[in-house]
Amino acid sequence: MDFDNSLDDALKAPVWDDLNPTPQQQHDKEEEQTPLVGDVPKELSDTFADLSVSNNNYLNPMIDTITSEEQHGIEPQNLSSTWEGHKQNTVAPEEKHKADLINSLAPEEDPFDDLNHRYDPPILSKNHDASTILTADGSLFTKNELNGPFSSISDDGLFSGVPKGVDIKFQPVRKIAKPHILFDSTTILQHAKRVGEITTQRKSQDNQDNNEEMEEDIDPLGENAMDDEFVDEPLEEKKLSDNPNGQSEQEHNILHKVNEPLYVLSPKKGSTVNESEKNALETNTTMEKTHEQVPDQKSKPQIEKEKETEEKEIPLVDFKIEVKDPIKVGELTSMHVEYTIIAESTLIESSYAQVTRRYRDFRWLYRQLQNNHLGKVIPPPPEKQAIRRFSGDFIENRRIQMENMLICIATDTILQNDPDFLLFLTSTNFPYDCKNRENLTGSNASNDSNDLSEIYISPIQLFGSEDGIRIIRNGGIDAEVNKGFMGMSFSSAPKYTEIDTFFIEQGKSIDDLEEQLKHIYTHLDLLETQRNELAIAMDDFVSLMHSLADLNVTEKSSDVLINFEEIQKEIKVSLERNSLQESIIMGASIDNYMRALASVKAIFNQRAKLGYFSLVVEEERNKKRIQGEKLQKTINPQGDNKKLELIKFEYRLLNTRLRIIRNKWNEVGEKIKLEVKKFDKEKINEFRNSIEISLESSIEAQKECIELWETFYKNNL
Amino acid sequence: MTSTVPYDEFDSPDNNPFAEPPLEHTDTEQPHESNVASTPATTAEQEVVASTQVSPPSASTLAEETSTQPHDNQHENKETNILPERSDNKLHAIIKVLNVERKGALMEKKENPIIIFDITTNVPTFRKTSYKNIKKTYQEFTELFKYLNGSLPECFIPSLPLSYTNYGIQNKEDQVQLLKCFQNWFNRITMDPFVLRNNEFAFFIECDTGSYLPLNKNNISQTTGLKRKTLKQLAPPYDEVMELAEFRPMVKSIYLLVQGIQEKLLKCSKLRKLMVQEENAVGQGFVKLGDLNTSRGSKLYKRFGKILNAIGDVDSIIATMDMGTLYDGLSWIVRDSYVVKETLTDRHLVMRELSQAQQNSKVKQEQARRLRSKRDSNPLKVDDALRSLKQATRTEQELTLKLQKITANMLIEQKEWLEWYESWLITSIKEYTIRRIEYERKKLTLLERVRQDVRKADVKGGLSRLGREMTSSNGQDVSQSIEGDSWTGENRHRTSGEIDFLSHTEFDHTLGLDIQEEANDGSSDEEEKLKLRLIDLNC
Repeated sequence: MDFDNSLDDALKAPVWDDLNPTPQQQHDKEEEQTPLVGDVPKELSDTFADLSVSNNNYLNPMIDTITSEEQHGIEPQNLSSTWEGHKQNTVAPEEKHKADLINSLAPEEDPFDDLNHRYDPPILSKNHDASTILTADGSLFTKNELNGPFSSISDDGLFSGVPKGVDIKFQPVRKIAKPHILFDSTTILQHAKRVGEITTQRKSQDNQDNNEEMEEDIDPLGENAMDDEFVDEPLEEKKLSDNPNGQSEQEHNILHKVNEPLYVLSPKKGSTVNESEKNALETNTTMEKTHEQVPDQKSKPQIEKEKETEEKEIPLVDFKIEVKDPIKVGELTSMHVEYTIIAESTLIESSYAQVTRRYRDFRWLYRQLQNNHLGKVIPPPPEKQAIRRFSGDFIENRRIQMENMLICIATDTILQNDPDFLLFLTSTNFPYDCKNRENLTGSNASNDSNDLSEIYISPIQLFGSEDGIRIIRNGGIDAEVNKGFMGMSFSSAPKYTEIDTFFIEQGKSIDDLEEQLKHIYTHLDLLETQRNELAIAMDDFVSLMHSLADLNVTEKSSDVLINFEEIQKEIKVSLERNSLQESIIMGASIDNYMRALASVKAIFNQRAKLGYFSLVVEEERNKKRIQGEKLQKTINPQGDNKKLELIKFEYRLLNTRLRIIRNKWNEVGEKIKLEVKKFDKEKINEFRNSIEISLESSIEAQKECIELWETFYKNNL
Repeated sequence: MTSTVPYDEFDSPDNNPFAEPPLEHTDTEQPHESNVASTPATTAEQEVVASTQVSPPSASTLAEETSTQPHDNQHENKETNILPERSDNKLHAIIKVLNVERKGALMEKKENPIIIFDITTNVPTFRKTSYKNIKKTYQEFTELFKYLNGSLPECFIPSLPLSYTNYGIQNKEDQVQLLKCFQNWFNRITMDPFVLRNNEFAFFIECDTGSYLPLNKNNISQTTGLKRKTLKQLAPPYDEVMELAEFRPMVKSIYLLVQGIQEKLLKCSKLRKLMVQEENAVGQGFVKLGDLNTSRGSKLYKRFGKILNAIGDVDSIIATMDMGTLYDGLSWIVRDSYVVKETLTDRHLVMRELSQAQQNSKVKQEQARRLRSKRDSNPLKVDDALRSLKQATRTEQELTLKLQKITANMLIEQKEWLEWYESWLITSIKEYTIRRIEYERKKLTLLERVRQDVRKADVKGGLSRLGREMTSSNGQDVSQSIEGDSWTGENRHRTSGEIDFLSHTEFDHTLGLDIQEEANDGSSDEEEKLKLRLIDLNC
């Protein structure tokens, strides 16, 4: 969120500028326009102010995500704006008793009309495999497939929020996906509403502008010109482009920009956002950008290329990390092993740090990093082990694994800069610091499950601290689902089903891979035991040979037998060595591979969890909407609408959350794709290396074995 | 064995300086040996001589009790006298085993192979001098062996080779091994003059295929059954011939130890096969891993997996080879040492019999003496006593002779057997080693074959990071070539054929490698090599 401020210029404006030039202006306008303004409008403006203030707090993440979402389509932007618009249109006019009752009523009714009409789309998107929608959305808006559910969400939000422009803008999509008739009434209504709004709320100039846009719009679209929905398309574009240009230049720009997007709709958007973001973002650029560009349907190599260049921007700082000197600490129950970690790097303040950490701390680091970098494969720590924790072999093995983990983290450009990692390397009061950090980030890092692939997503990380803390206080995102009578839930929790085939396939292939590796691992293990057994049997065999030689039946035979015994012994030693080597090299690398796979699974789980959250939140939001709808119908326009306010606020909050989650979900999905690719490459290299080493060592062993036999043959037979 | 009975004129073992009771008896015959020694030792004449000389020794027994043993210098002569068969080495039989056939049902095939051989001989018991393509079933061999073993107590009859090998039946290795073993057996059998002269042997050769049954079953004089078992429990009688006295326990130890070794070897082999299973499973795992991976690693995993698999298979072959070479080799030693041990037991039994006979004759002698000293003895009784004395003395005499003969022959055959034992043991180990080297080399070839793939997968990674360069980027990176082995300074020149042999395994086709030669070509080549090697071993 470092880029909040820098983003403000680029993003705040479009958000608030949605329907009208700027929120402030709008407020002003409203206040100016409405002579009947009483307490209520003031309240309204207060809430608006609140909203704008809170921008920096819980709404900020929303903005982040919005920016990232802008390329997918304008929906999110619109959404946030529509909320205002909605508020304006629904609440303000109502309260103000504006002159034209019909006009004021229309916007009020609209949302619910919309709801009624569009109620099925979200359900559809939820329940059906979004492929049908996907194709529709994707083709038109050139979003990547991931947006499938997204577009439906945004539709959802749009309809409930009754943003006229947005709604209309989405019409073409709908049209492709569904029979046109379904939307006719709504679109007409909306159009009417919009017109009404324009006439009532806007200056005539603005109105003219809009009309102009409409006219211009029609031309390029040709056949679709007949549809009213398309009229608003340029409106959206205008809004986007308006911000940097300001009011005075608007007209020229509108003409220019309106034409552009219509021919090449999404690429343009992507690039504009990109530019603005490039300037604004510094740290997170990589993710955001790649994320942005994927929807733009740029070819993958291009993405990768860009990514690479992006990565080069963050220079890899050299790290020297050593884990050594395991020492048993404590007594009886509190007994554990502490390892000394020495780190040297310019990233560390004093460029040298020496601390002691225990195994638990490594787990903490893993969880913490996992939480900090959603969708990133974190180098895994060694597995937990309950028994024989203090045997020398085990500690040494663990030491190597932990050292590997730290080195892997340190060689990752993103992870090496992670504050928690640096804290881990430097903190002198780690038990305190780690708890502190954990509370700060809500990572739940010390409630660490044995399974490396199990994950916990911190609401703080997801929604920012304020909203996150609120959620935690309420018992987590899925508290609604989990809470029930006596801990029993009557409503079944929504089940998240992955819709992207990439993830399904990858997930499956990872499972397969894991199973296969497990298979190899167990057999390697068995192979080792078999080898050792064989070695023992050979021992017996050899000792009997020796006694036969001792019989001294004939001198020569005894000689041969003794030599035979010798060589068998040597072969046995070689066999044992080979088996040990294999188990160390291959076994360790397979073990490492498996743990890394667990880490990969973790990011898949993160996505699934986000998906699940989104469903939960969506459900909750829908509940709120229905609640609001009911309230809306029953409510006395003049009466106490605090309850409605509250519900509206909650609804808005939920909507924001949902969007954040969806964004994150999408983002994580994108990241996973890249990560998986990178992971595959890395792992294959790593694995190949251990294959080579073990191969070379077996070749050497084989040569030795041949040589032994040859020598025996030559000397004795 | 009728012919053996009459030779009662022979001396005690030459090397005997002790004056034990049995020996005294044997010593009594010494005066006669000069006569016998001078007689020509051909079989035909011996018959005559023997018949004429039956009575004199018995008559003079008592008188000669005091005679001394100054005849050590006549050792050679004595031996030929005791073992007239040995003095004549003009007789011979040359047998060449031609083929081994396996016919009939599975069990029949396995247990009862037919051995085809030629024989050329000058032994008079044979009607012809040469026979071609004689076919004998394993069953017949067993009968012959049983008969010979029973009727020739002085000989260590070589036990028959196993009817099947651990290579499994009906493959080249098995055939070659069986041929070799039977050739070896025939060689040993024909070296033994007793067997050669035996009528049964001629009869065995001459009768039709599959129809042989021993003619003179009654001749089998072995003590068997419970009696034998009981007698074996007793402490062995005193044996004045140290070599033989020590020989039996040694053979027994050989028997037990080798059996133990076999057992362990079997265990090793089984464990190795279990290990192979795991090796294969690991290999299979890698192959599957290759299938899962669509990316660049897939080929590497697959190749590596297949190679691991092939190595597992080679290991499995090694396990079989261990059984086929060393285990089978040792099992013949086990069988043979058992026969030798039992034959030595038979000798003990004869010794025991002899000591009983000696005791008996002593008792009889005492009786006769007592009767003689009595004045009023009944002449009838005296006659009776004398007659039984004579009888006892004769039995004693016969047994003494028998024992002498057995002892003398065994002393000779003991050496032969030890030679055989040594050579056979070494042959087995040698064959084992050769096979082992061969397959270890193949393993090496296989490993080196996948090396390229592993390297290729990541040129910058792995050992190249440690500064170990690829020896060649695309060519053959093999350590075994015509010039010898890259890792040793030793000169091991090989022909290109040998290299070809080493660098191709039975599993090449499963590895899907680009081999130009047909699989058949390779395998037949291998068989030839194998044969050559085995023939080498035979020599």
